Amino acid sequence: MIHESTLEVPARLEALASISNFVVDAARGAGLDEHAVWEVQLAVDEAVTNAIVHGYHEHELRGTLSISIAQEDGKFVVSLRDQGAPFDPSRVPEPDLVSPLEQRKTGGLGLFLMRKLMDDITFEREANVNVLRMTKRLPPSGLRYIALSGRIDASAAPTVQRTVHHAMKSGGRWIVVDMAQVTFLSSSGLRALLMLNREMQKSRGDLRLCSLQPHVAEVFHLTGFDQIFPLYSSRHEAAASFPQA
Amino acid sequence: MEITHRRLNRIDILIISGRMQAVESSELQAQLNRLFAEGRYRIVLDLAHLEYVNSPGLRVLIEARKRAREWKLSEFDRGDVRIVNLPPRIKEVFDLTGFTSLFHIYDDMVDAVGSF
Repeated sequence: MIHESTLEVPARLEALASISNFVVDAARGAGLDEHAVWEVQLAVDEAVTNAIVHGYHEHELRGTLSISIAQEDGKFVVSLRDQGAPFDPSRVPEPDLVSPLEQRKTGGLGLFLMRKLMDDITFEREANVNVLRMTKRLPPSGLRYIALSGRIDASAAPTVQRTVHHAMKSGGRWIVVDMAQVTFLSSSGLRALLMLNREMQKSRGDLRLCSLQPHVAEVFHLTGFDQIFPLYSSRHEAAASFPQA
Repeated sequence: MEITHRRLNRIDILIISGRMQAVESSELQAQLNRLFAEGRYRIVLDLAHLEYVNSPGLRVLIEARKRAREWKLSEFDRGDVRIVNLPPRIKEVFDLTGFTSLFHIYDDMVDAVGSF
């Protein structure tokens, strides 16, 4: 465990904003990317809202909540402790994600989102306290993002190479190349990426591509290079595909 | 969170900006209820500057749409809560929770207002 910090607040909805700020700062500080920070924020927000509304308000209870943040084994761990009514997750209904408007039930959405957004969540009752632990894997150290744009052809290949080498020299080992703004990829561009990929793997790292426009992705499918280069739909997905720290 | 209200002849536009957590969701609910109480059931929510929403906010939206849809002058002229300018993060929450298919969502205010 590297360090742990705790925030204790009254179990009232007005405390949600300060809890969010606390969690967001800690998540950023732990090195999560902005998308993962938002996922953690949303999951914690749902958890705390549920604890306050269902654990305290509905039972006319008052009290405090504590939120602890820790980093352990490459994970960012948020623990929420409350002294509200005992919570049994198995009694929460499965969320309704498909019914038409008139019949749509909105129960269970919070728990559903928590499970979707975090890598793991566990509930325990210790003495008179509900303990919820939510974990999110931290990205490996040495993660770098590179955004390319425009035409990646023979004349752009050296620039691509320089950019990746620069990232490697600055300690980058796991590199995500964001291709969202790339409008054209020639065979020279493709070759440059392939060489860089080999180079990264030789130095025990890797290079992944994400967010390709459809006609650029097509180049990979046609040439079979998608066998060598798995393509990812977002930076987040690409980053999550690296071996975790 | 801030809510700006613009009243057109037949339609009310609520421009919602900032972060909507549980407390702010209740504020939106109160504002929508005031409109319903005045008999105003054609509503466009402009979410371009909504930075954050979670399930309490989603619940307010769905309940509001249910209520607006119950009001009708004819089979073809009913109340509704429609959405314009859904930012990527908010759309992601809509997608995760199956909300995207529950609302008429527009990219352009003129289209959203003209849809009524």
